[in-house]
Amino acid sequence: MRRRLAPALLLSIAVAHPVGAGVSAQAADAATPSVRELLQTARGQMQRGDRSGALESLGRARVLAPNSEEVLSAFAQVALAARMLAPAIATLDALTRMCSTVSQYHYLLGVALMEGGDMPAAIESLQQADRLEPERSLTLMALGLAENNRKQYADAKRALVHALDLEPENIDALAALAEAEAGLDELAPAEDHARRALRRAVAHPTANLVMGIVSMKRERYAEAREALDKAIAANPDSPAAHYQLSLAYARLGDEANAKRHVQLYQQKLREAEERMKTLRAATSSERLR
Amino acid sequence: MRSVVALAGAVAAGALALAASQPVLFRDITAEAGITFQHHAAPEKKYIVESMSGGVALFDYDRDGLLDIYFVDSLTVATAKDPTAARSALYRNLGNGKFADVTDKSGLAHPGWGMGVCTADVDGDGWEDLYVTGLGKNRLYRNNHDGTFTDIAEQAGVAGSGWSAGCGFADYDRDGRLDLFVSRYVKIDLDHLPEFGRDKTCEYRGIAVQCGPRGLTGESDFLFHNDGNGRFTEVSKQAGVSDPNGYFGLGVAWFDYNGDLWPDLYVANDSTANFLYRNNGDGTFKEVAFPTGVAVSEDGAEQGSMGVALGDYLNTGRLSLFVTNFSEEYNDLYRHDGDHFTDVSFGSKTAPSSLPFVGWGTGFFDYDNDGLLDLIVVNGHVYPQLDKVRLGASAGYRQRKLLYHNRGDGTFDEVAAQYGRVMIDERVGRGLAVGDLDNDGRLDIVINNLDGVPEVLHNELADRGNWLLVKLTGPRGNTDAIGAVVTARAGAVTETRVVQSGTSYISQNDMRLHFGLGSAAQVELLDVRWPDGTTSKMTNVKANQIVAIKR
Repeated sequence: MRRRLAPALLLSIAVAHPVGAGVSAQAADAATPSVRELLQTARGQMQRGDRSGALESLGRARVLAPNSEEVLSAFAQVALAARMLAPAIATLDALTRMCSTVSQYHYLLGVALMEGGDMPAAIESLQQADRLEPERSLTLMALGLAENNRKQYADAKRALVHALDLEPENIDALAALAEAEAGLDELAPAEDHARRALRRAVAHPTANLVMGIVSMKRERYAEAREALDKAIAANPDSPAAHYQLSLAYARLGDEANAKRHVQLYQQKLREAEERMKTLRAATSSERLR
Repeated sequence: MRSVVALAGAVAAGALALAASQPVLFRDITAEAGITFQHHAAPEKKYIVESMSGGVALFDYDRDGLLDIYFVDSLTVATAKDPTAARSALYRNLGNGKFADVTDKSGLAHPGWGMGVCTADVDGDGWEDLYVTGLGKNRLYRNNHDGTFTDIAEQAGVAGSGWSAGCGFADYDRDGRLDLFVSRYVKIDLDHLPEFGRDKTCEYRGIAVQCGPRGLTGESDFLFHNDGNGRFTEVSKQAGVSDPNGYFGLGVAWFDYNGDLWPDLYVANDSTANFLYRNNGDGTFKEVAFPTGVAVSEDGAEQGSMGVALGDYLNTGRLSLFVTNFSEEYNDLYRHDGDHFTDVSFGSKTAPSSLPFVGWGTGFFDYDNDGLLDLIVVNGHVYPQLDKVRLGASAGYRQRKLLYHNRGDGTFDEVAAQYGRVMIDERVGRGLAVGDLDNDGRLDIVINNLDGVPEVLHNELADRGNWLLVKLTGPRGNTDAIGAVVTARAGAVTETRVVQSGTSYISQNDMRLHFGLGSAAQVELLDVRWPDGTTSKMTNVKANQIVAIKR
């Protein structure tokens, strides 16, 4: 089951980590002043929301300065924000080799791999980021999300509890913690944490999904249906939410809706597989399974 | 140099001390029992058809009261045209811990490209017959009562075609005759095989591997209705169990999940949703896996399902389902909650330990006779190429077994490592069957390993409870009483078992029903619900014996 990160999270990543200035940027500067102009153009385009224009400018900068950390870093982050995962992953892969001690690149590569569905590789990258720069809540949260996806719930819980120690107000981390606890069958804390997340973000997809799953396990089927409806409203592409909702309808004796959501689940699953197939076709087989 | 030697000696002594301190559960008696079978497959497994065999059956072919063993062997792409290149094997249990290879006399050596096996007394003469699935024609070996068998699949109309995998007999229409379901896997043309590593669907973590099953075309399934004249008719379409979309069928389990006396059918499909066919009682079935919650995992993932085990692990009288899956997925435990099932894989603590492994043969069994069904899984990957690359958290090509001890509160402890190397030695497990080989009340395990030697694991646990073994004999037509449900009440505990043909991963367990009784010296009530709905009762049955009950 591939789970997509909330777009807000990706945007926060892009905003929180502006383009870094590395050693090779100076070389690029010296080599050709037009690289600097192209970077400035790209920044302007990003500010106007023109991601494809920014990528084009940065692509031209890469031709002029293919080894510039600054250019590669900008390109990777813009590609990631634009959800162009294949170029983002390839570029970040190069950056982690060029600058192996920079935590940020391992972190971004981990996020990109997670988005691409390669959770084992994502976890490795995020663990490396955590080793290089411990006590960073974003890394811990991403690690928790990836471990949840891999159903390594005990590890996910550890990372997410730590992330919340560092950033107690993070709703995504709270909802992810609830998911880990639901996976561990710790239903009471899972429900508590999901409710806390929902008090602050009523439409949160993960928190609503967890409420749905917990309610199903506690045989509160009507409540489960309500939560899962909200989860789907927030993230209509979630096969897991449609599947659980089909079960809720089945338990409530509504065969028609149960069947409808099985069909929607299957459709969303196929769409997710198609996305993955496209991504794999566009990406080095070294990186995506 | 001296210190190195001393250190090595100390390490060896420590290992010996550790081994000595470990309780013995299973001892590998394969070699000393005289079992020399060797399963064959191409070393590189370049094609999926070289990775999926084979099953194992425990059945008493000569009616001497001792379980015999049949191992299924397979051909390879290179040997496909020479059926004698593979040698399946029948071993007769001599009763003294030894087995004799009686394959040549039996006529069971060369079924072709063998996959799975299930048994039943198909013709109702009181002697166990054997059905062997494979690539091409399947075999129905009729027992001739003299240690020989004759393949009557063609004349009986059950030879099938394509690539068959799982099988199981049951009297689905309750006409008193055993019918047969056969799952099929992938369409394979040996003259046009999918090229190894040809595209992204034939890669695994960036390395070239065999193609499939995803990306290949699946096969439909067969239901053969027993017409009662020695012939069967293929009725899967009329019955609604044909799988027209060609899901990748493997493990099979017949059982009456809703207690209406009509046998229902569960099919484990690789990489696609599983099926639960509810028997409508009129010769047709309705597929209800999704609404009942046993089609996919809890989060909606279609898993690579292989083997199936059925068991009342909670002693509630309901048979829950356990399904083995591919690595990085998890094995599913679907708890039977009455009119539906709930995925309790993580809550039961069986899931986390299964994530690195590719699971195949599996069975619920009470290895310590404490009255609670435990669980075993054999594992092994399909890609030998994996050993050449970094794998992260996943296991390699050869993999250890998983043994779960039932704690009695709905959860399990994974305890394989407590019982020494025999449980954690790495093999490429496939078929697994459970049965009591020496009638001592302790359940033994037999495993067919891909491209390797099998394992006969003798249960030698010293600290175990009392037991009862129940051998049912039904009327002509279903002398094995397949589908019968037996409950045994001992003190506050009531255990439930069902007679099954075909189970685990394309294998056959001992059809006798085993009850662990703990400290109970007797079963106060033994209740048999025969497949026709009638019941038999016995009271105050003493423990530690084999009880034969005839309808």
